[in-house]
Amino acid sequence: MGMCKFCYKHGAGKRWYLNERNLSVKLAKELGFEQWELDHWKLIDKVYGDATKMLADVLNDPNMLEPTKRMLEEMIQKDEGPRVFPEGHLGQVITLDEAKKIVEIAGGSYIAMCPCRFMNRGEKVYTCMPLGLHGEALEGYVDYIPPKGMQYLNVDEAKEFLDECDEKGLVHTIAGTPIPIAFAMCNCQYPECIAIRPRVEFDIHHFLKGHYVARVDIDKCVGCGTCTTRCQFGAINLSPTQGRAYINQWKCFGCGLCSTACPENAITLVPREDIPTLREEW
Amino acid sequence: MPERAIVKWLKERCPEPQECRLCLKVCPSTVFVMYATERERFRETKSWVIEPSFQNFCVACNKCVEICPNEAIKIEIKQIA
Repeated sequence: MGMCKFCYKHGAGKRWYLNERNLSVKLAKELGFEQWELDHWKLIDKVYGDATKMLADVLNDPNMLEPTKRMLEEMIQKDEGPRVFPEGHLGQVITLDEAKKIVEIAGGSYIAMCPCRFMNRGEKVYTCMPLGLHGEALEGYVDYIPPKGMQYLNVDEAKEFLDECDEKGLVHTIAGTPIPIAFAMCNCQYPECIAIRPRVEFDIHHFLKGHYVARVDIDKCVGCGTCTTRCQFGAINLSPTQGRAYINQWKCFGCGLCSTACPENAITLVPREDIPTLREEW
Repeated sequence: MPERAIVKWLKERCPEPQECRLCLKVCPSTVFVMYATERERFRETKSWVIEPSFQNFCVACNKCVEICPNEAIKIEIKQIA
């Protein structure tokens, strides 16, 4: 084992989001997801609003937390066909390089407003990158379309856009709803993201850690602290005693934002599968 | 005794949440979720509501109550066992 559960089921020997089949419009249509994609744009915020309200009510009674989590986990396990949020917002953290590979395979991406930041913060930020059929389904949903109208980025533009997002410090993620279709790449942040927040606050495993873990080369680290401002998961701090960055390997989601910002190139990404203690930690 | 905040959003006092959004912006705990109850393709969405979904994280700082121009938000403190 030691393989992420999505790759195990849908990767065909590769990472599930780098498996060309899962990025094809043809497969999405074959599986009958056209209506689902339209419903997604129509209902994403409403379903999340209803679901989180339920979750919050449940959390008022601590006895209900474990049973509710179990129920949600069971729903995630049955990953066949369309489902609802948030247990259906299956996704995973990816690195900048992986994100670029995905746009190469998908041949570009659309641009949409981030529904999460609008519903949680009222901010209109255009950082969502719906792919293929999911992007086509965006047409007509005026709340989420950029002010100038539908926008499609070709491969080079999409890569440049990903670089910009990385520079801003946004976590790259891939969403697989409905699984196995890799339907959108998001550039997310905690706590607004509807994938990251339930995972971090309630430990619901619909959203998985990435295939890498960040590690500091203590000989190269000069203790400038740049990386500590980049982590959205609270995994990095600066050790006052050693004057170096410290990364909690168990909290690390492997997004690589710390490593792309490090001026000394002191942070490397180690494949999770290569670390015996962390290879089951998704 | 530990205490928790109960946040209430009064729909009738907040006619256009999607235009204002001040409570969403000031909340330090990201308690609120704003969503459309009905959305149609090729039409502007008008029916928005605000739900204090994450009120377990509310620290009762009262920022939303202070900033709301319509007094549409109420916070009560409740003792929990």
